[in-house]
Amino acid sequence: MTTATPTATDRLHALDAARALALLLGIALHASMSFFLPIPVQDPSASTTLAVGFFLIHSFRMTLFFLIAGYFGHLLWQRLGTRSFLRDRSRRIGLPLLGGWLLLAPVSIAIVIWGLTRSGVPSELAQSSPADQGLPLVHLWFLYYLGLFYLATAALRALWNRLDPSDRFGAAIDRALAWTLRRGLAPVLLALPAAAVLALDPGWRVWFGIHTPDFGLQPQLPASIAYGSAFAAGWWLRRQGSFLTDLASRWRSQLLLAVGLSALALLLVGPRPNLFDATTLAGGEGRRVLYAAVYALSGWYWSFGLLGACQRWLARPSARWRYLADASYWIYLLHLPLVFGLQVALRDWPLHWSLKFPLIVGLTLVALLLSYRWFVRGSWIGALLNGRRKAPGLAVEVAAVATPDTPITAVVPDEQSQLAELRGVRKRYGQTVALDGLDLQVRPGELLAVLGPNGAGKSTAIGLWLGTLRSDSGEVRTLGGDPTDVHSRLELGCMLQDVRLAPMLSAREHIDLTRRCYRDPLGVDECIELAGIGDFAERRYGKLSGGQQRQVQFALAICGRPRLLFLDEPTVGLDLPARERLWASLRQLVAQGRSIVLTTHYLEEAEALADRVAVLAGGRLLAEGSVAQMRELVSRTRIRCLSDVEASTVRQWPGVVEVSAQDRQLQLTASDPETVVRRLLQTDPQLSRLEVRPANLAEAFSELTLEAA
Amino acid sequence: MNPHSSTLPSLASGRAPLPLRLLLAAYLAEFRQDLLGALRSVGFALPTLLVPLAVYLVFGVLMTSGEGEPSYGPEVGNYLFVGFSALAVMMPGIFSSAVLAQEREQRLLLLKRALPLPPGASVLAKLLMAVTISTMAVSIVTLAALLLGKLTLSTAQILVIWLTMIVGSLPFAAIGLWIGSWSSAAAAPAWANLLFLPMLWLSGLFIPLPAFLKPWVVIWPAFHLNQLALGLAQVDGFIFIPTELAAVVLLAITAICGVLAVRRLARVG
Repeated sequence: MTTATPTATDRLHALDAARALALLLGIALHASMSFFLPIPVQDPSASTTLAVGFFLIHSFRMTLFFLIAGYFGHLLWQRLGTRSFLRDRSRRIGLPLLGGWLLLAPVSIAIVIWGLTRSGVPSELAQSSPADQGLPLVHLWFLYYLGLFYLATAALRALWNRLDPSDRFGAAIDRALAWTLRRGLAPVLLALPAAAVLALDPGWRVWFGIHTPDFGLQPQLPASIAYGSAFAAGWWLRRQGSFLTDLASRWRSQLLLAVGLSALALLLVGPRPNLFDATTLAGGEGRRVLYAAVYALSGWYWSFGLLGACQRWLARPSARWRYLADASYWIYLLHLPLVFGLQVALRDWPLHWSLKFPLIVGLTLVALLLSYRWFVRGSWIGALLNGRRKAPGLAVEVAAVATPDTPITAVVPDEQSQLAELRGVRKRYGQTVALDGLDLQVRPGELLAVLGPNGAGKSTAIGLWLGTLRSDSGEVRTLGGDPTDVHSRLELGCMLQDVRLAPMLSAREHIDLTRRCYRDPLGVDECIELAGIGDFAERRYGKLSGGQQRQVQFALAICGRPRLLFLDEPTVGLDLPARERLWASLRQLVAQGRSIVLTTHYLEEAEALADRVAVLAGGRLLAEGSVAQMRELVSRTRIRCLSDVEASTVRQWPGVVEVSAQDRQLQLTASDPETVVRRLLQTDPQLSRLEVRPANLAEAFSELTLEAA
Repeated sequence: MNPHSSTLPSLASGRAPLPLRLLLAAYLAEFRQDLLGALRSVGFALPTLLVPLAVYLVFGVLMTSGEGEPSYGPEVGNYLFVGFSALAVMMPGIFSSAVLAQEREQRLLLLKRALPLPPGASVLAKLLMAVTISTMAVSIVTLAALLLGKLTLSTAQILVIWLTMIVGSLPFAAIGLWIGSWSSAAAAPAWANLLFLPMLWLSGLFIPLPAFLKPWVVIWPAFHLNQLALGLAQVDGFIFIPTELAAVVLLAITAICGVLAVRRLARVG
C-alpha cells in the first residue's frame, strides 16, 4: 500500500477513494466465490448473478489498484528519493506482508481445507495439491508483487538514467501518452501487454482472466506483465499533469464503454466458468484472441472510468471517505479468513444466496471496521498501515484553545465547601466555543445568579452540572461527585428551558411520579402549595397555558427537597403574581439552607434574589461577586442634565466614560462623578435638571459584556 | 452564607444509594407514567389495540369462513391466528417510536437525565409499556379466536403462543426505541410505517407470497416471531426454519437495537 502524501491535494482524495474501492470490492469478490465455485466451500444456493459480479470485479480490480499504486509510488519517490522510498515501502508493504502472511495464511488455508472437506470437491479439481504450486501467498500476493514492482522500478530508473540522461525518449513517451489520453484511447494502448500475454498463454483459464498468482514466489508471467504494466502506467501517468482532470471529464463515456466491453466478453466466454475444462474457449483461435483483447480492454476502461468518476465526485476532502480509505488496508488484509469462515459456517443455513451474500459481506465489514476503530486506528498497527496514529473518530482535530483572559473576580472563591463547581472547563459544539476555561463554584445556602447575553454559556454550564452534557476538558463536580453518576443527583432539582412534559398527565400525577426519584420528597399537596399551582393541579399538562406549565415544572424541580436547585430562566412567560410567588418560594428555600443557581435575563430578578452574581460572556467568567460588589466593580455613575455643552467636548474630559446627547439632554456615565459634575457646572452655569445616581445592575452588566465584546 | 445551612444532613449521606424499596418504586413510577400516557393517547392506544382485532376478524375469520377454506384444511385457522397475534405485538413496539421521538424532541428525556431517575429507568419503562400494551392487544385477538372457535390447537399450545407473543414483543419495542432515538418526532410515524407496512405483507404472516419473494421472508423480524411461536407450540405443517434460529435472530435484533438506542439516548435524550 502506498501513502497519501502529507501535502495531500484534492487529487489524492479521489485516488485514496478509488484505492479503497478496489480493496473493498475484494471482499465482495471473495464473498461471492462460494456461490459458484467450490472455494472455500460450495454453497447449495448457487448464483449466476454473483458469478457475473465476480467476473466484472475481477476484470479490473487489480489493474485499477496497481495503476494507483504506480501513481502514488512516483509521487512518493519524488518526495523521498530512492533510498528513503525503498525504506518506507519495506516498512509499509514488506512488514504487513510478512506479519500478515505468518498470521493469516495458515488460518485461511485451514478454513479452505475445512470447507473442502465439508462440500466434497470433484476429484478433477483437487488434482493439484497446494504443495505442487509453491508457497501459498493467499490474498497477500498483491503486496509481494507490489514489492517486486518497486524494486524493478528502482533498478529500471537507474538504468534509464544512464541510457537516456537527457530524457528525450521519456519525453517522447510522454507525448505519445498525452496524445492517446486526449483522444480517450489510452486504454487501447495500455491493454496491449495484458491482451498479448493472455492470448499467448496456453494454460490460460479463460473465464478467470488474469490468473491470480497466489501461489509461489517465482513471478508468474501473466500477472507480472498485466499488473506490472498497470503499475508502470500509473508511475508514468503521474508525469502527465492533466491526467486526472482528463479522466474526470470523460468518466461517463469510459464506463459506458467498459460496460459494453464486459458484456461482449461475457457473451464470448459465458456467465459461469467451466471448471472442468477451464483453458478451452469454444469457437477457435480467432475467438480466443478477440476475447483476450476485449477482456484486457474492458479492465482498462473500467479502471479509467472509475478513477474518473472518483475524481469527479470524491475529489473533495471528506472525513468519511478519508476514514474508509484509512481503514480499507486493514480490512483487506484481514478479510479473507473471516469471509471464508463465514462462507463455510453459513453453508448449511437454508437461506437464499441473495441473503447469505450480503450477510457475509456485512458481517465482515462491521467486524473489521469495529476492530479497526478499537484496536488499529490509534495503535502501532495503525501507525504501520496508515503512516501514523490517528484520532479514533471522524472529527477534524481542532487546534488547542488559547489561554483565556483572567476574569475580573470581586470575591476570592471560598475553596472549602463547594456544592458544585466547574474548574477550567472547556466545551465546544463543533467549531463554536461554548465554555472557554470556565471556573465557577456554588456554595451552600446561596442563590447564585448567572447572567450573560445569549450564547454566553449559561445553559451549557448548567447542563454540565446536571450531567446532561460532558465537558471537553476540565473538572465538573456536583454534590461531591461526577454529575453523570446518579448518586450525585439524588439531592438535585432542576428546571430547564423549553421542556414539555407528558401532555396526557395532570400536574398532580407529574409531581407524584417525579417525587419518587427522591429519598425524602415533599408530599404532593405540600409541593402543590409551595409552587402555588393548586388551581390547576388536576388539569392535564397539555391543556395548561405556557406560564402554568412553567409553574408545574418548578413544582417538579422542588418536589424532592433538593439541596441544590438549578433553574434555567424560570420566570420566562410568568405573569407578575406568579413570578412574585416563585420569588417568595425561592427565598423560602434559601432560608432553609438550600442552594440555588438561577440563570436569568431579568436583572431585577438577580437584584431581588441573588446573594452572588456571576457574569458570563463568550464562555468565560467576566465578573463575580455580590450585587453590591458588582455595582462597585463597575462603579460608574449616571449623570443627566439639560445643558448647552457639546457632547464631543464632554467626551474629552477625564473621568467620563460615555456620553450621549439628544437636543439639550445630556446623559453621561462617569467613573469620577464629583469632578465631572463640578466641571459641568463651571462650564455651563445655565445647566439645569441635574440628576446623579449610581448605575444599576442592568447598566453594569451591559457595560461589562460590552467591554468583553 | 446562610445560618440555616447546618439544618441539612451531610453531603455524604445524600449520596447514599436509594433503599431497594424506593428504587423499585421509582422504576415502577416511571413505568406507570409511560403506560398512563400511552393509554390516554387515543391516537396511539386505539389503533394498537383494535386494528389487530379488526383485521383478524376481516381476514382471519370472515374471509376464511367461506367455501374456499378447505383447500388449506382447518389448520389454516391456527396459522392465521398466530400471524395476527404477531401483528398485535408488533404495533405497540414499533409505533412507540413516535412517543419516544416526541419526548426526546420536547426535551423531556433531557429533563429525566438530569433528574435522579435510576439508571435505564426511562428506557426500561418504554419497553415495559410496549410489552404491556402488546399483551393487551394479543389477549384481545386470542379471546376473539377462542370465542369464534377458529382454533384446533390445544390449550397448552394456545398458552405457549400467547406467552411467546408477549415476550416476542420485546424486539419490536427495541426497534421502536431505536427509531425513536434518532428520528424527529414528525418523521417517526413515517419511519415506523415504512418498516411496519412492508413487514406486514412481506413476512408471509397471512398472505401467500409470490415465489420470488419467499426467500426474503427471513429478513423480517415478524417472520421469525411467527416461526418461534409456531415452533415452540409445535404447530405442524407451518414450521419452515429451525426454532432456535428464529430465537437467535429475535434476540440479536433486541440486543442490537436496544444497545444502539440506549447508547444514543444516553447522549442525546
